[in-house]
Amino acid sequence: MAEKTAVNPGAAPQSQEARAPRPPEAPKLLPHKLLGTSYFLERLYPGDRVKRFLEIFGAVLKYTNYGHLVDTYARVGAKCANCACACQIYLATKDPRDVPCYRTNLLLEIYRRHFTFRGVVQSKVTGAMYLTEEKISELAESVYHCTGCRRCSFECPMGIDHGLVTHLSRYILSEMDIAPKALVVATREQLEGKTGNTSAIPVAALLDTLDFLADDIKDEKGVRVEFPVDKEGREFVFFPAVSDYLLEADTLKGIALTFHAAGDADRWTIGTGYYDGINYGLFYSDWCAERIVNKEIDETRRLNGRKILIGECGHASRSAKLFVPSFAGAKGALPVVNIMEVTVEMLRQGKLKLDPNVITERVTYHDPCNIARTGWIVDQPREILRSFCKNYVDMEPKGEKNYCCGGGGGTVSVDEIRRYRTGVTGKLKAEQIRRTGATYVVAPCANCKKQLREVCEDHGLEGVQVVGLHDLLYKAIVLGEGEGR
Amino acid sequence: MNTWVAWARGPFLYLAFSVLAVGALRQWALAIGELARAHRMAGDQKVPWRWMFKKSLGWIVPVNALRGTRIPFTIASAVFHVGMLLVPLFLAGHVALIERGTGISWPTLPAVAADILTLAALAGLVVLLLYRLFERAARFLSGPQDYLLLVLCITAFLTGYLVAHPERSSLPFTLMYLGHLLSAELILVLIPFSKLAHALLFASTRIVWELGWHFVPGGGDKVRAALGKAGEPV
Repeated sequence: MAEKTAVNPGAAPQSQEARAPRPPEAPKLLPHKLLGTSYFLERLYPGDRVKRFLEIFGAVLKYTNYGHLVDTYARVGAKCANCACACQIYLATKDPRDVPCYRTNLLLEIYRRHFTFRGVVQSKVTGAMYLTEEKISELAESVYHCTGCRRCSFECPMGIDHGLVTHLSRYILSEMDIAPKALVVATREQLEGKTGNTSAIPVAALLDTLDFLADDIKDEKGVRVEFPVDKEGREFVFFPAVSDYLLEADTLKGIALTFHAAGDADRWTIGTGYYDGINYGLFYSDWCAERIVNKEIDETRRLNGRKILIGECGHASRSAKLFVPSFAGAKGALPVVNIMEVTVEMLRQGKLKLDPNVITERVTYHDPCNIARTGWIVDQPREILRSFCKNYVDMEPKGEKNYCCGGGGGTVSVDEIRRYRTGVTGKLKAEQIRRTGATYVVAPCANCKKQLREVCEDHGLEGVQVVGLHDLLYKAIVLGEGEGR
Repeated sequence: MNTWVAWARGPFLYLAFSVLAVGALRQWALAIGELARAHRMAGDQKVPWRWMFKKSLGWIVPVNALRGTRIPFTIASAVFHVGMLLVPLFLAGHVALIERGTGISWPTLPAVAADILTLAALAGLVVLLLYRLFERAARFLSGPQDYLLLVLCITAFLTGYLVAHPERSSLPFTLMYLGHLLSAELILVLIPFSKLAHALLFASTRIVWELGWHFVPGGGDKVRAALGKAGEPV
């Protein structure tokens, strides 16, 4: 079974990194014994998996909106392979099993053979069962090769959204416990654990961190900036990727200082009831997605907040923007705002004074797929960066057509596939970064930051610093008279 | 042979059009019904119609795709589709045939224009076939249906051209005529049942995509309940 599953992620094509040093030996991948996936599973459905898969598929078609979508795609899919030229994974591996349409067809063929009149007749006549254990294994491996960046959606003349079909395949598989352990464990802590967030940070630790960050700002900028906690009636209730509290101190300090410097410190608050923007449901489970987004809505309502403010995080922004109206109804839905939209507004209103002489190194901007692909947040960060970075360059391609960092779709959290992420999915990104010659790669997304740091490390991009947008603002903000240094 | 032609021009033609009409109506009815259902079930019922209209239009006129990496494919595909839409509908011979049967007629293409469109479409089809045969990704994805439909379209156009210009080949006219009638009728019949269905469903695929992202509140719970997993932890 193991040899039937798609490419071994460790076996990157020989041509890769012609110029860059080879990535260091990653820990050897231990394929899951039962299924042959390159990512770890927590457990596996013990019964007849083929039967179970069809039961789940049937239930999903019945109770969700995927039915007509799958049906239409199964009818019109032309297999023209236009999507191949947009997919950075196929461009890196040249393995036709990585063509988005091929992956989509794995699921569509199951639909055609088991859920359409013609397919059922065909099965009756030939007496053969189309779906097999091997096919489930292949699908299970294939859908986590994709980073869900949806770049291919621009190329499909038939309007097939391969990202959405991959999401659906992952959802079906997750209902029979086939999902990366890393994602499931984090989501369990978030939904059912004591701390209620993916990084398992208790409230006391959060408050400590905030104190610590405030002290830091005092030391570095000479000004006392508070992180507002549990303030009611504020415009924004803030949900960063919760891992930022552990890993991205500079981004959080930058955000607090930006609010302070603009005189808007009373517009936002952090809630101790729930403070995690991460929603892995977007990657693998609609059921989890709904429960997670409801936690954001409940916390915002508890604090009488008017808007949900998401920190520097691509998938958190998109999942909130998408799921708040989807699951709570569009009528009276809380607006979802990304922090960069707020900052650019402050800048346009002249509330921020930025020193153009602080960041003299070359700066480039990485568009996180989840906020850029639809054109939602493309120009705002560039407007901010250009206003104070003298040496700003864009990557090519950029904006809506950017390349994914290589760690999208939750794959960045799956440590056991690091070698695949940096060597294959992150390969084009590494080349792109190298071409810009930038010192700072601004990546306003917790997911992209982690991935890009690993990409830079594994591709020998030593001088490159991967930072958040507000990390640079933190350095460049000029405070008003009588305060700061 | 002439009896065959008579059959192909008469009953077969009516049959082909009837199958197409019934198939198309069924697909459209299904599409409209299912889209309405998806819209009703969605939690977020706001739909960006303008954006979708623009998106759909963007693919009818694929100038944006011309900046991509598969430019010959895009051009060949566009040229073929223009020919495929215009020649069958506006060729003088076709309109005359329909007028004889139904009494309805409409303006026609000049013969030269029809010739150019036909040859261009043939060239486009050959390019598409070459892509399937020689491009790694396309060849891997292709099954028998993908090749046969291309060959069928090539047959229809080629025989059509030879019927219009019997002097340019030494092949028997009747055979070409029969080949043209049968291949064209086969295309009509296959539209509702093969991937050619995109001719019918093209207009709705962007709406389908958009509504696909409009998730159903409580859908996940219902799925789990149906699977006997209600109340189970993550």
